[in-house]
Amino acid sequence: MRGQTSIEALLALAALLCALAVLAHATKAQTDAFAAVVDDADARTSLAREAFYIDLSADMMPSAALQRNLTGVPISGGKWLASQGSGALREPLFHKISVDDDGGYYVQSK
Amino acid sequence: MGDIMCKVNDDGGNARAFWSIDAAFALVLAVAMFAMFSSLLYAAGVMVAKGADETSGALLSARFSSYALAQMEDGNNVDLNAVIEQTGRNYASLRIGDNFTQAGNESGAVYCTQRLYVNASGMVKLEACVG
Repeated sequence: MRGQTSIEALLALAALLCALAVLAHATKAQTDAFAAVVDDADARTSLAREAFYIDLSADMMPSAALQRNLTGVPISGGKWLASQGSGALREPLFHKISVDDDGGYYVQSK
Repeated sequence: MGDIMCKVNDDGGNARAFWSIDAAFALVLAVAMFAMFSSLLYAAGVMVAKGADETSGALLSARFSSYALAQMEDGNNVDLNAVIEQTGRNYASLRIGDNFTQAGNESGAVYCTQRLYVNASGMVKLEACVG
């Protein structure tokens, strides 16, 4: 009981709270970084699948309209598909695509 | 935890045992647990990123194989250097039957798609790779 109200006890409590705060902060930074990696991988996988669907559709139905609501955005004259969330994520296309006024995607050329 | 950090040695009458063995051990355990947690998160992140890389590479090689087939159907030769430039990759190769061509530097992961197709000489194996 002697140490409970002493300066040492208060210092110990402060040290404990500081250690907990540092650990919590570091843990949050780690989980945030992990969440960013997962989001990035998810976006990259989605983009790769969309590029696959686009090239596959273009092989089977040249000049046909592709599905709407794609998350990727055609760039570089429609030769690349970029992620809307992160422009650094892109997938090459073997067919040029373009966007019409209604937001649909069309194959420009084979 | 607070009790551990503030443990007092009653036996010797010394109330200044600010850092006890118990407190130090608890601190070591906490740091070790955090290090393990960090390592697990890092490994999981690497696995997730690797999975996305593999999906992207595998689907790209599949698209490349379709592109090569379409070019051959049209009677065109497949320009591998143009494929490398178009895809932004370092390496591309094409094996049609026993005929093998490649361009670029084969370094790092290479993703391949093998498929069969029928031409005038019969069934032929095609292997398209990008890296």
